[in-house]
Amino acid sequence: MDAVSSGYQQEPHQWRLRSLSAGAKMWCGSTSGFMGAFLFAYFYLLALDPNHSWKIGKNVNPSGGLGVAIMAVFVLSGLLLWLGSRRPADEITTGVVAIVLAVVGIALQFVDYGVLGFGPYRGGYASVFYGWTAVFTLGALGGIYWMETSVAALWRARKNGFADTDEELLRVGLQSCALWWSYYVALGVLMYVVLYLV
Amino acid sequence: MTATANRVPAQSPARQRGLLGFNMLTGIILGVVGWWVFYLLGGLIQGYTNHGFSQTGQNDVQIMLGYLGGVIGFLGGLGFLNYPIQRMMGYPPNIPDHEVEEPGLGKYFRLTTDHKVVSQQYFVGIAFFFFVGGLNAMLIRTELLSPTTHVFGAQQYLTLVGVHGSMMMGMMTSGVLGPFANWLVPLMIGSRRMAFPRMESLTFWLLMAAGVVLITTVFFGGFQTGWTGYEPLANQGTAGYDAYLGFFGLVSISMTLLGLNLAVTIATMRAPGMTWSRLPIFCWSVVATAALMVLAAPMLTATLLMGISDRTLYTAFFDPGLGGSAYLWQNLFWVFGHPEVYVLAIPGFGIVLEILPVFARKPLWGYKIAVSGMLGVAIFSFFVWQHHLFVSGMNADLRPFYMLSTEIISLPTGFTFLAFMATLWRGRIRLTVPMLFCLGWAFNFLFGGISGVFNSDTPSDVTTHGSFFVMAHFHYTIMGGLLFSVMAAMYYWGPKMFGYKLNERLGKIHFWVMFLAFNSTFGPLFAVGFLGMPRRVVTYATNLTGLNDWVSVSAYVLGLSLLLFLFNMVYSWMYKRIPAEDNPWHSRSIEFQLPTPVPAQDFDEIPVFSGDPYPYGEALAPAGAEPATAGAY
Amino acid sequence: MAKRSLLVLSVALATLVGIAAYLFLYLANVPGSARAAQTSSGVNLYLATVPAAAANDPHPTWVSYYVTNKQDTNWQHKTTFVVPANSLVHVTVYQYDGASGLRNPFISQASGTVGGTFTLNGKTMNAIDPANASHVFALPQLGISVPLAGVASNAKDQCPNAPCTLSQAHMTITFTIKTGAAGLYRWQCFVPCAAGYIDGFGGPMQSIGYMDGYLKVV
Ligand code: HEM
Ligand SMILES: [Cu+2]
Ligand SMILES: [Cu+2]
Repeated sequence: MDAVSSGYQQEPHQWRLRSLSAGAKMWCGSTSGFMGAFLFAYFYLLALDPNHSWKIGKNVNPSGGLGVAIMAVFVLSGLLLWLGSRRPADEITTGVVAIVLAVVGIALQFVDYGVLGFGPYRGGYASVFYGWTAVFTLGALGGIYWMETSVAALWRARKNGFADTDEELLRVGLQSCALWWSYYVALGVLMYVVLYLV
Repeated sequence: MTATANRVPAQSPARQRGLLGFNMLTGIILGVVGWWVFYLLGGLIQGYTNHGFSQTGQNDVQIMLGYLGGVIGFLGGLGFLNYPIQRMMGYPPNIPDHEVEEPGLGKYFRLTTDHKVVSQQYFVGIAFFFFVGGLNAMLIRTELLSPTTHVFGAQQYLTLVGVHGSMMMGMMTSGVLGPFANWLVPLMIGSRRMAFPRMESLTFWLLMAAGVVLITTVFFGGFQTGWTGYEPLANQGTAGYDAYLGFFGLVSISMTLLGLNLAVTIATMRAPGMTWSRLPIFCWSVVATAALMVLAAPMLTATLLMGISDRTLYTAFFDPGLGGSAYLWQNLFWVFGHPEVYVLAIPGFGIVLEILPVFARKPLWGYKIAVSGMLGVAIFSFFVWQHHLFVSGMNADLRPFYMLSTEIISLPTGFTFLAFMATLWRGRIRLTVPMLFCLGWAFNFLFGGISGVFNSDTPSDVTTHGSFFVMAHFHYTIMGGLLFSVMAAMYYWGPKMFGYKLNERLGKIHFWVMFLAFNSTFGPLFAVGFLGMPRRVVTYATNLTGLNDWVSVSAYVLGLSLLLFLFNMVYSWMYKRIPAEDNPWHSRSIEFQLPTPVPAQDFDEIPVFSGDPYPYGEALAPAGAEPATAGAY
Repeated sequence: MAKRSLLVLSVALATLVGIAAYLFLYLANVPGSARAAQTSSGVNLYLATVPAAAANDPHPTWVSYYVTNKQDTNWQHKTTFVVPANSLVHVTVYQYDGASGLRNPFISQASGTVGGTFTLNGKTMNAIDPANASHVFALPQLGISVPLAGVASNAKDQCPNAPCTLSQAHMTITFTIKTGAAGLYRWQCFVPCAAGYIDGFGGPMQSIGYMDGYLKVV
């Protein structure tokens, strides 16, 4: 291999930007693998139905209405963040609203746990239901952290008139976050459809 | 190229530097504190476990929380928690993503973002846990000297097997990407750092926490499932199994992030001129491996979370009485597990093909074939997992499919061998220590692959499954394959990484002892397996005593050969300390054009690449572009 | 140089100490063995089974076997029983635990004992009601299996945990087995008696020293 010096002391600015968005895309891949395991568990146990215990007892059905409501709140959050991250003027407002919506979604999920009327031991379905919604909620907490840091960084930089900060980097950061978050929400839609509506 | 060191004087922010600052010691102290705090808090939540706490006296909730607290404390003590707190308040990252040159040993015990220091940390950390795993292997062989139990009890034996297997599989998945890819990739592609340097450090410390978690299993009675953690034994297992879950959980997270970081770095941070078709073959192997890690490891995380929630939250994923299925674990584990075994194989391909041209003085033959072989293996590995379940009572119609898909994997694997052989063909071969290990790799891995075909043939797998034959198979691929390539890498890059030469004569002795002892240990195990000795059973038929004793003695020699290597490192790097030359092997690869030791900045300036990555035997490149040391050998 | 040697030495020393601790505190920490008492007509082995081990045991809630004596006064937590080769072993079990029932009724039959029978509270029999099974003493390699009936759930003065005395509610089971060649034979219980574990098969059922052990024929 032949190599000469480029004369660039600093690494190309593009690198940082591209790493962020490439990282977010790959993280989408990891998230799919993670959620895929629960999807697999759902259909595996449904098909195998060990001990005829897919659902033990009556009323092992969550309320479809609450499921749709949770799903709607998350979808709204994802959409808002996605659209807002492309409009510098609105990015902070939409970001904050997206975060609030995600918190509401999580809160609703807990409300759902409260009124569910069945425990995780009530069969294969109940196990997948609890396991999957719980990890989804955990992941959503992670999403909130990511959104919060992206928005907070932009907010603080904006307050200082972007002095000493890389405005483009912060924006790409928010966009990467939005990319993952909307993808995550889409996976969530799949989950809510399978768990609440099918 | 010009690459003089840019030695910026150390200007250490005091916050990070003192004995009581954020470092490993603080991490350990806070880790212990975190364990106790969470453990005691967990003690308050009694009775809500799957196992009926009052009857079993086993509170898995408490133990899992303890591990969680311990890991949080450990990471906090290292300074990882400062970062999210600052970030949530909107401040820029307070941990720099580039380290400056700093003398002293302190940097090795801290959160650091110098990719070379992280790789050295990985090297020592993994070596330590490898030693622990190896020690267990010696004890396993000691117990197997006699057909009945004579040194340890049956349970202790199973724990030995489980800790050995888990430790090796968990640690060695990062065994190349941790120490070598972290060091090499930023040099080879000219990026001077990883895409996410803080994450790079996190992967290392997570792995260390994982290793400690696994060892703590002995305080809770050990676990009996072996490294695959099969249900229903697992869910019935005593508290020691929680350590298994915690260990692999941390490993899987570390693995995902390590792969993600490397994949992003190679995808987005290649210096000008470093096109995909000029990417060194080692980097390609990292790409293929990283893809597997990014996609497959999270599946393991999810599976382990199901296992944890079965034991703590009263779900029933794996409890057939309540609608779960033990086979769900078996399937999910291997959906991850087979890609995982290629995570252990592909980096070896990369190392060997990277080193081979240097000592054959020929360009790498079939660069594109080799690349497609590695990518092919990576893709196929997602479609073969049921070959681990041939005798599980799976749907008989699925058997031919998985049999064929498994055998098809041999094709892309064959590409690597093709490139290997054709590169050697009419080369000017120099039998240096790294080269010897490369040749040893080829010999061993061939047997691993061929025995793999016996396993993938359903009719023959019915007899080999669960026997020592399978054991021999994967030790040929992993120890004979991966570990030999790691040794090649150690002798090849080690002096460059650590700055001092390794003793060549000791290296050759090490190779021959290790090569012969390895084959003498695992070769007979194929026979032992055919003769019907099952894995993971402490006793065996008395007529197998002779073979087993032979194997045990060989295993001790194998262990000694690794101690010889340890001795070589201590002796050469701590006592002799002969500085390594910049380019001892006359390599044309870029990392050898840099001074030894490589400066903290790597390059003063981002390099620009041109030409073939393996120009051996070609005419000299235009003046000025070619380092003086690397003549047309 | 000296500093470096010191470093190497201390690391090596720490490693050795770690290994030694691992070996002796965990690995070689195997439950002890007890020798059966010799008599003119073979050896006598006195065992006891309890619903829970002694309060100071590492697992005070687990069901367990104990070694004891004829008067049931000398309780030892050991499950490796040393007996002579080619001789008769008269086993007496003082059974203090309640019934947990069998999933596989086959195990409620006796097999492999001298005469194919055992006595329950003095009565000779060759099987019990599967629902009454509390534990089983089985040596699969020798084809021996003896069911141990449980104490009635309404019995007075039940023993909560080891050590128990003969004045408390119990069943007495006796049987005789004949040993063959010297060797190490695994014995275990087959009743899913590990309360609280999935399917009753965790904890004590998979731990030597509780519902598993060895018959060491010497
Ligand atoms: C030509 C390539 C290969 C084929 C056809 C193949 C085939 C198989 C099959 C069919 C099994 C299941 C055997 C059984 O349990 O009965 C197996 C087990 C295994 N293989 Fe391979 N294999 C190949 C290469 C590798 C490589 C490259 C590695 C790792 C570097 C590897 C590691 C393992 C491991 C770890 C197991 C056993 C896991 C366990 O049960 O604990 N194999 N292999
Ligand atoms: Cu496989
Ligand atoms: Cu029992």
